[in-house]
Amino acid sequence: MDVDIIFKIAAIGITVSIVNMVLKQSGREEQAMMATLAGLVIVLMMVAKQILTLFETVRTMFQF
Amino acid sequence: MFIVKLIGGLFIVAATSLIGILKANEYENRTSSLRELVCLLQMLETEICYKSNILCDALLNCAKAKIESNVGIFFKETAELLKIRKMTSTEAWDKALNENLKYTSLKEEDAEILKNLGNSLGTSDYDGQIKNIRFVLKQLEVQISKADIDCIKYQSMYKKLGVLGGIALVVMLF
Repeated sequence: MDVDIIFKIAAIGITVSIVNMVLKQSGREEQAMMATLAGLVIVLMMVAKQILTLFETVRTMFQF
Repeated sequence: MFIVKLIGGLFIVAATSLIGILKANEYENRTSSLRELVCLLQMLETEICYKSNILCDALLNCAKAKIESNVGIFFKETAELLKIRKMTSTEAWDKALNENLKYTSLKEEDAEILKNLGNSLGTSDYDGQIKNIRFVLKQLEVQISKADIDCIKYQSMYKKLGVLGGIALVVMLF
């Protein structure tokens, strides 16, 4: 199990929350929202492969 | 291997921070350019009012007095265009503005105010000129106060965004 990916997701989460705070503080609310969504999409892309592996494993386990 | 990655990451963060600082400096330069512009226009008004120089010489004197400013280049180029070619002063002022606007940090609305000044520069009489210059000075004061507000809001924001963007990029790549 690759532990690096957990650290990456945590670091991106912290960075996105700080960017969100900075942008909201200077008044650009909609860009803060866009940055949050972008962070979410990036994390999902990193995790997608693992989720696919998970579903394959579940499928072979129950032999559907 | 890890130390090479660390150095590469530091370079990326430094690069994005520099981009953020450059964008933040634009706002600061706009404020100081507007202040220099007000100063130069006041000198122009003094030249016209008390020395009664011709326009070409008045503009050159103003530009020479403040060599290191980057808005003085408007005045210098207008004076040179008036000397070399047979243009009206309005055309010379407009041409100097359009060519040099991209080298300064002024925005479109500031350029509009200056273009209005150019329309009246060589055409009206002595009193009209003084009144026009004073009117433009008042408009520029309003722009300076707006630019100050913008500067305070956006300067620290761009610097922080530069550093944070660099960190996010490094985390994603490694």
